[in-house]
This record gives sequence, C-alpha cells and structure tokens, in this order.
Amino acid sequence: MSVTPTSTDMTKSAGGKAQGWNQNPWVSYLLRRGMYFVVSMFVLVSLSFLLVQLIPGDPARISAGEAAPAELVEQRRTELGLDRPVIIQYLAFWGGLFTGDLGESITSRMPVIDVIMTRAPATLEIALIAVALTLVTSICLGLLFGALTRGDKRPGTEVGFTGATGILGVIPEFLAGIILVYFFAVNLDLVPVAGRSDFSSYILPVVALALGSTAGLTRIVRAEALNVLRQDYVRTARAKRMNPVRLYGRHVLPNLLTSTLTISGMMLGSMIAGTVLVENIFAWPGLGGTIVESIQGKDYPLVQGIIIFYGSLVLLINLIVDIVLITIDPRTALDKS
Amino acid sequence: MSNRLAFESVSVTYGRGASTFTAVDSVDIAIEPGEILGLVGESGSGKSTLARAAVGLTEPTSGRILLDDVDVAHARGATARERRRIQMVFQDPQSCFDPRRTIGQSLDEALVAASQRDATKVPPARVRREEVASLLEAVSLPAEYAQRMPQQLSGGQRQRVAVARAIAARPSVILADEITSALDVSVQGSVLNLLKDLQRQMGFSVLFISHNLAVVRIVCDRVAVMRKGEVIEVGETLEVMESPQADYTKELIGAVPSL
Amino acid sequence: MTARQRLLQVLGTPLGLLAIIGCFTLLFFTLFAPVIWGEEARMTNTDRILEPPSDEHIFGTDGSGRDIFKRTLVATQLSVVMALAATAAGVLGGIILGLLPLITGGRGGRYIVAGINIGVAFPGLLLAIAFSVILGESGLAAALAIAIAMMPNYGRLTHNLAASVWGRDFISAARVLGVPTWKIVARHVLPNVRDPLIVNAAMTAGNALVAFAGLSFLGLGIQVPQYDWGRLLNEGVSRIFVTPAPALVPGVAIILAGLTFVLLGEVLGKVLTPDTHRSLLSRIRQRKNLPDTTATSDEADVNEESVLSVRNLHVAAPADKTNWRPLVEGVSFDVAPGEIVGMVGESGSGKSLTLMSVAGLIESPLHVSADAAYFDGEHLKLQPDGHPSALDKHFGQKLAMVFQDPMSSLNPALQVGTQVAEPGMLHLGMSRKEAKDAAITRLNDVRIPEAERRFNQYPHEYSGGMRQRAMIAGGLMGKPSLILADEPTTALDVTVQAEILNLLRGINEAEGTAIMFVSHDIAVVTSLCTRVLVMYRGHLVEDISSADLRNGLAQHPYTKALMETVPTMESPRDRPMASIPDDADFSSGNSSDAETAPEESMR
Repeated sequence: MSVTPTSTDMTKSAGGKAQGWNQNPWVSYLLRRGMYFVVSMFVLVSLSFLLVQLIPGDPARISAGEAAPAELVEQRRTELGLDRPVIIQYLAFWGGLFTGDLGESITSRMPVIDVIMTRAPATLEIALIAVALTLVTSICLGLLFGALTRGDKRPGTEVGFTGATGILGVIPEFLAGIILVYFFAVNLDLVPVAGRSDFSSYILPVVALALGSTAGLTRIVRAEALNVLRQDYVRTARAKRMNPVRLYGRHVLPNLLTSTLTISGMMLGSMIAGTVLVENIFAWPGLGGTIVESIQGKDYPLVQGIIIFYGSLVLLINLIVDIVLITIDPRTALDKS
Repeated sequence: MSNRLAFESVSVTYGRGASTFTAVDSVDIAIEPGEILGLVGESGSGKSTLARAAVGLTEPTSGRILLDDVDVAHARGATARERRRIQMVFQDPQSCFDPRRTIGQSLDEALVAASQRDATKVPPARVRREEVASLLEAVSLPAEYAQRMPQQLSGGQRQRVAVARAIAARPSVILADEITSALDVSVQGSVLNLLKDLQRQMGFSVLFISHNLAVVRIVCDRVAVMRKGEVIEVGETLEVMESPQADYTKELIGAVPSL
Repeated sequence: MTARQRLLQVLGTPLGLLAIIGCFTLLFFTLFAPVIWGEEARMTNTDRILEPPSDEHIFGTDGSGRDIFKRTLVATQLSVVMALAATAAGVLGGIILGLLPLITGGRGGRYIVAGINIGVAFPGLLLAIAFSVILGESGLAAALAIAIAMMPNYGRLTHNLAASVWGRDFISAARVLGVPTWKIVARHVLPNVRDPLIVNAAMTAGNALVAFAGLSFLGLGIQVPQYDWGRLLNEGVSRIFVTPAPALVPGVAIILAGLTFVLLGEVLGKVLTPDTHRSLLSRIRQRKNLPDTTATSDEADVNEESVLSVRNLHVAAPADKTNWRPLVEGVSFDVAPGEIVGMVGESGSGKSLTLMSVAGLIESPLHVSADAAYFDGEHLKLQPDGHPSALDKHFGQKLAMVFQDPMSSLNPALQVGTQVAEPGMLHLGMSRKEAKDAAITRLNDVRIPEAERRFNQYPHEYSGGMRQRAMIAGGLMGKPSLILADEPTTALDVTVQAEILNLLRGINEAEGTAIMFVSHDIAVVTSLCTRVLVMYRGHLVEDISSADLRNGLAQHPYTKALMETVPTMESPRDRPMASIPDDADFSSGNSSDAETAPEESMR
C-alpha cells in the first residue's frame, strides 16, 4: 500500500482553457523547448567558432601556404578578418550566419554556404530515409517480439532475438557498409558499389546506416513494450477482453511510442553522424566526404560550416521528436511543467 | 532548551511565474515542549512540505521557523547544526535505510553526526557499538540486529529502527511523517506505542503527521487540520474530534469508516 | 544469492563461457601479440606485396608484403588499449560530471544538468571530429576526443541514477542528521549506483573501441607507421574489389572485440544487477515443472445459488529452478447474488491474487489452478494455466472490475471517455455513437460533473476520485451481476473514499449488483460489506458476517488478534495500542500455540 498524492478537487489547469496564454501548458512547454533549442544552437555556434580559435598554428599562414612570404600571409589575414579582435570576429561570425555567409573555403575559394547547399541534399536523403526506416522497423519488430515474449513466454524466441540483435547491434555502420559492399556489390553485383545514381544505389548506404541502430532500437522497443505490458492500465484493458489488434494498437502502441521516441532522439543523432563514415565508404557525394577532406586539408571555414550543419540537423531532429511526443501524449508536456 | 518548534507565517511555493504552486500558505503553528501535535489533512494539503521545511529538505519561501527562539529557516553553519536537533522519521520503510549498509552502520552514522553537532569528541568505535546496542534495545530489538541488512527486517521493525536513528541524534523535536501508513495495521501499534513511550521518557516534542484520524486521536495531545496549504483548525484532540468547528474537519471526521 | 554465487552460476552458462573465452583471447593478444609477431608484422617485404591468401600468409599480404593476419593480431594492443584508456577517462569524467550537480546543488547544479543535456544531444562522432580538428590527427587526440564525447552521456546516466537514489528517504535522513553532502555522495549515493555504472562501462568500452576504429578508418586517428584495426581497415578497403581479406580480417576483429565487451557487460549485468537480468535457462526449466496442486476433491461441488463460486484455488510463484512457492492455497468461497463480500488481509496474504485469479488476470510466471469455478449460472472451464476463458465474454456485460490505483489503471494516452465507452463497443454491439452516449450517461450516473466535456479529457486531467468513478462507470456499461474491486479506495483520501464507498453501496442497492471488495482496511470492509472473508498467509481463515465480526464472534485467533489492533474513533487513549508480534504464527488456527517463527522479510 502506498499513499500517493492525489488531489480531490478538480485538478488544476485542466487543459488550460480560460487561462492566460502563458499558463497554457502546451504553450509553456513549446516555449521552454524552443528556448532549449535556441540555447543549444548558441552553444553549437559558439563552440564551432571557438574550434578555429583553438587550433594550434596560424590559420592565415595555413591558408596562404607554408612557403608564402610574410606580406601575403598578412594580406590573407586581413582578407579572412583574422586581424580583428576575437569578440568582433565572433559577432561577425554570427552576423554572417544570419545572412547565410559562412566565409569561404580556403582550398576551393568557394563560399562555404554554396558547398553545403550543393552537398547537403545527398546527406539528408540517406540520413532521413535511414532514420525513417529505423524507426518504423524497430517499433514494429520490437512490439512484435515484446508481444511474443511477454510474461517469459517463448524463451527460445527470446534467445534468438537477443542473440541476433546483439550481434547486429555491435556492427558499426562503416563495417556494415564494407561487408554489404563486398557481398552485394562486388560478389553478387546486385547494386552499384559506390556513388549516387538510381534507386538501387541508395540501398546499401541506407541499410549500412540503419542496420546497427535498428538492432539496438528494436531491443529497446521490446524492453519498453514489456514494460508497458506490465502496467496497470494494460491489465485494465485485458480485463475488458479485447482482441489483440485493439489491445496492442490502441492501448499499448501510443504509450510505447512515447518512451521509444524519448530514447531514440539520441540514437538518431548518432545516425546522422554515422553518415560521415558511410559516405566515405560509398563515395557518396554528401558532406561526410567533404568534412574529412577539409579536416585533412586544414580548410577550417568549411569544417566550421559543416559542423554547424550537422549539429543543427541533430538538434532539429530532437526538436521534432519532442514535438511529436507531446502530440501523441500530452501528459509529457504537463508533467514537465 | 525547551524543545518548542514554532512556524510563523511559513509559506512554501514551488515554481515561478504563472505556474507557481503554493504548497504551504502562511502557516502559524507551534509544537509546544513535550507534546505530540497531530497534523491531519488530505494528501497534497502541505503536511509533509511543512515538516520538510523545518529540517531544511525544502526551503520555505517566507516566514520563520523557530526552534527555541532560533530561526532555523535557511539555516547555514552553526544554525544548521542547531537545526539537527529536529529529526524526522519517514513514511516508506522500503527506502528509509541505505540497502548497502547494515542497521548498525546506519545508526552509527547518526551517533557520529550527533557528536559533531554538539562539537563533542566523537566517541571511539567500541563505545558507539555499545550505544547502537542500547538504541536497538530501546526500540525492543535484539542487539544482534546491528549486523543485519535492512532487507532482512520486516517493515515494522525497520520503522522501529528509524525511530532509533532519530533518537540517536538526541533530538528536541521529532517530525513523524506518516510513519505507519505503509505498514500493516497489525504492527502499527508496536511502532506507535514505542514512539509514545520514548517521548514520555526523553521529553522531546513530536509533530505527528497522519491521514488516519483514528490513530491521531489515540496518539496526539493536540491536533491541527490542514487543507490546501492552510491550517484551518487547531485544538485539543478530543475537543476537535468531538466538536469540530471547521466544515472540512466535520467532513473529515464523518468520513472515517467505523468497524 | 550473493554476487559471487551468481558469478559462478553465470560463468557456467554458454553466455558466460563465451564471455570468458572472448576476454582471455582479447587479453592474450593485447599483451603478447606485439611481442610474438610485432617484428614480423612490421618488416616490409617488397617481393611479396599484395599476395592472395596462401599457406604461409593465411589471409595474404598487404601493399608492403606484410602478413595481414599477423598485423591484425598485433593491432589488437593499440585498438584495445586506446579504447580502454578513452573509456576510463570518459567514465571518470562522466561520473564526476554526473555527481557534481548533487554536491553543488541549487542553481549551479541545474546549469550543470542543462549543460549535460545539451552535450548529450550532440552525437559523439561529431564531437570527436571537432576535437580532432583542434588536436590534430593523432591516436591520442582521437582517444581524448572519444573520452570527452563520452562524458555527457555517461554523466547523464550517472546523474539519473544518482538523482533517483537522492530522492530516497535514507538520503533525506542523512541530510537531516547533518552528514556533509560530499560524504553522503561518497557513502550512500556512489555504492548504490556503482553496479549499473560498471555494467554500462563495459558496454561503453565496446562503443569506444568501435568509435576509435571509425576515426582511424577516416584517417583521423592512428597515423602511420602505427596501425590499429581502423587504420588496417582503411588500407584494406581500397582493395576490396580485388580481395576482401585485408578489409574483412580487421573488420571481423572489430566485431569480435565489440561483442566481447557486450558479453562482458551482459555477464556483469547478470551478476551485479540481477533484478533486471533473469536467467533464461532457469525459466525454460521451470516451464516443465508445473506446481503440484493435486485436487483434494474430485468434481468439487460449487454452489449454484451463487453468482460466483470458487473451489480450491491455488496460486504459486516460481521460487527457484524446480520449486514453487505457494501464494494462495486451497481457497474456496461463494458470493451470493446482490451480496457485498469483503476480503481482508495484510500485504502478502494473497487477497489480491485471489481476486485477480478469479478475473483471469494472473499472467505467467505465476501459476493458477482450481477445482471448479462457477459464475452466474455457468460452470467455468479452466485452461491448464488456470485462465477461466469462459469468463471472457462476460467482461463488460455481467462482470466488471475496479482496480487500486485509478491513475495507473487508466491508460494515460487515451481519453477517459474512450476507455469508458470501450466495453460497449467490444461486448454490447454498440456503435461508436451509441457507446459514447451510453458512456456519457454512465459518467453522469457516477456523478462526474460536466460529463460531456470531460468525456474527451485525459486521465491526468481528472482528480483521483473522478478517475475511480470513471473506472466504475466503465464497469457499468453493461449490466453487471458482479463487480470485482481490488483495493479501490486505498490510494484515495478519506473523504473521497467515503464518496466511492457510497457510490458502490448505491449501485448495489439500486441494481442488486453483487460486489467482491478486497481491502487491507478492516474498518472499510466492515462498514461496506455484509460478509467478510479473512485471508492469512495464502489461506482463507475466516468467513463471517460483518455483524458477527463487529460483535466479536470471530472464530479464528488471527481474526480476533487483527480486530484488536484496528484503531477506531472509540479506542481507549490511555492504553497502549494492540499489535501482533513479529514472530506470531496463527497458521495452526490455534491461539495457544502461536509459535515463534522466523520473521519473513518484506520482499
């Protein structure tokens, strides 16, 4: 027996009607969540600015070339704006960000924003397809295996499931990519080895990216499904004696989505980062190849721009996940406020 | 020291701006020396918050909490040490002892803390072991229980040890927060009898928080009724029970199921 | 079972064996491979470059004529050491980061937590890339980058674990005693979060190994002439069209090493956090040994006058590999039409289990059996697992249930109205519209104000009492002849409790609905019910009318002792309260030999 706090009167803030706009839990949640996004973006941009400041050596010298004469280095320094005080540079960096001016690539002399705009679509394509595939597959499979093995039923299935997802889960995306290339492109010649052309060229990069995450997330979804199935409200639903489709679809799934999405936000972030590795294997013309080249070529403005791009993409996905979350389950928004 | 604990227009609010929630709303109430004051009210009425404010687990937003004329609200340093003369016993016997430490270790911690509070030398381990034994004896448990882990004790036994831990700190006031509501009714009496006996022997004052009016009626000298953060009625227990003034008190007493 | 015993047990399983083999192999190559093959793997041999697999070089040679297999074995050292170093640094930093908010407390603590949360949002690989920009491309920089990237994640894990411990009463008790915060963290928090942190560190080490290989693969980690698995992979992948071995051999090494850390984590998990890891094998074995609950009578005589009649009910839980622990033993009872029967007992007496098995809501691993059960004119056929499947069609029509905690019993993600209307659509053949109208009527019946508007609200927008009313409204969608209620007022305040009891009483009087009411509170039961069943340690020890119980006519010594202990508004204030000693045992039913029995610990 436990004495849990319950209020006897009409609960306060019932949906927030007839209250000030800032008292509406939805609005206040969105405000807070938006604030968090803004702060995170601020941190991201500031850190990427700081990144270049912390690099040992002289960016102007690197940009002008090792052998360049001192005047040329100074001229370059002025061009890059590196002769100004750091705080001015910082503010200019922000100003540039809002006007879409992220500076210019040292090696190619192209505006960074143009490089990102031309290469980002390829990255976004495989990232978003893989994210969608991962979410759909792991929620379906996780729920299925959760239902099959609930209450310690079917231990054999559980062993198989745990083993398979355990092994697949440790295979990192770059290894999955290499293995897939070897078997399906080199050996069986079913799909292109590399590059971005027709539909078939998408299969391997997307699968390589999604495989490990799907295995990991499916395990989590199953654990969450078992957790939801233990809840009292599922017992209530079972006491009503409904068919499994309604039980799992209507009573279990919404609650499962809540907890799964909460957890998966982080995983999706690391999938976005995983594109860097996968793109390098499949010579995919996205930003993943570009960032590695630009680090090795010490092309710092480009590195900066790409890091901001990836970082904001991750933050944006997290934001979307959270907004989807409160539309599915309004309680989350209220609990936090 | 006269063991008096007084709350003077104490408020506790949570949150800021529009979502402010007032858990305790300018409460004026005093636990007189050597009495057991009952505090009843429904869940969420602010009973526990009031107690937690007195021991510093929650910071009061305004008002004074006087332990024998010393304001212990927001206490730091020497005053915070003084505040340790108020001890608390909690509701849940499952979580009131560190599952990784023996009963003896938990009691020993209280003894050491009490010595440090009084700025006396911490007695040697051997002496403390004897004190632990006598504490266990005081709550009618064999001395060997010092070696046991909390999980090996029943809920009633654990609550008795929790009382022992509170008295190990040589308190002036004990705040007992629903100490038997998680227990079976059959062992409830053993814990409450113990608290009353020790109170009579040692003379500390008790704030007895409970939602069970029948228990409060037996245990307490006076009783205060809280609702929505405010104290709406205070009086001698029997007077309040037999001729309640506030409507809510009447409702509360009317709702008590009878055998 | 102690951790040592569990360790021995786990190591005997296939999983444990694999983990041991993996760990020792990894350890062996880490320590000795460079000593044994280091020289050989370093020497270039221009005569034998890019050779295919042969007897001499089982996986062929690389671009400098070096044996790929031996290079992979030698690379173990750098790969594993770097991963472990990064993990150690990351874990240590994470633990400090996670505990810091507790020690500083207040605003500073909140900022640290916010910082951790922002750090977690950024993927580790991205952070690692950023750091390798600052620190240059080197193995040490990559390891440091991985360590730093690990800190927010591990910090958050530590903080979540620590915060949940921090909320427990023993921490409050220590704070009230005045134990310094750092001492509380070291003495009470760390030991209680240690085990999951260790388990997670093993898994984290696997991730670090893979991440480090990834950075080296990108050319951002180990640089020539040194080599780790990622570097070898980098060199091998360009030749994948010619021969797969140079890429696949280090690749397989990465997977095997990663798996070893995962297995280690699993084993540690089973040893250190057994609550969350139950042994699968023991469960398989258990399935074959069902508890032996031989029927005491053949075709038990149910009372066909009753609305509910149960004979010789047993519920058992698996105790260990082969044995079952009885929770309910041989309980038989009847509920007459229109009667309110109460069932009381202490925690663990089996009263709720009895009710749940009647409703067919006991799930494995618990096992139910009974000789016979009868509900409203129908003999129920019991399935081998004890489930009265014949009851299924009665739910929502002739049988209703109310549970203890109305918050957790209502689905938080569904509107209350939908849940109330559901039985109408499921069992009464109502359309959506009809079910909604009926549900609003029922919500009105149980006195929910503004039922029409509140139909569309979610459970969290209801108060505790209203939730319980809504549960009851759902049960009244049909025309139940029996309501099964499991501690329906325990989570409610006394005034709300009184309202719910009145509601149930009213339904009973108006509709003649029988109620079986389970509660730990004898006062509640006697005030509501006409007859009382008393449960004690899994047995039904008393079946008595409320009037007789009030008048002290109870037969069983336990019932008598229990009645003594119930405080009432009439109890004498000057006498000590009665209580049942810890070691009392009423199992024999004889008060004189209430033997001293070892106190059974709670949980």
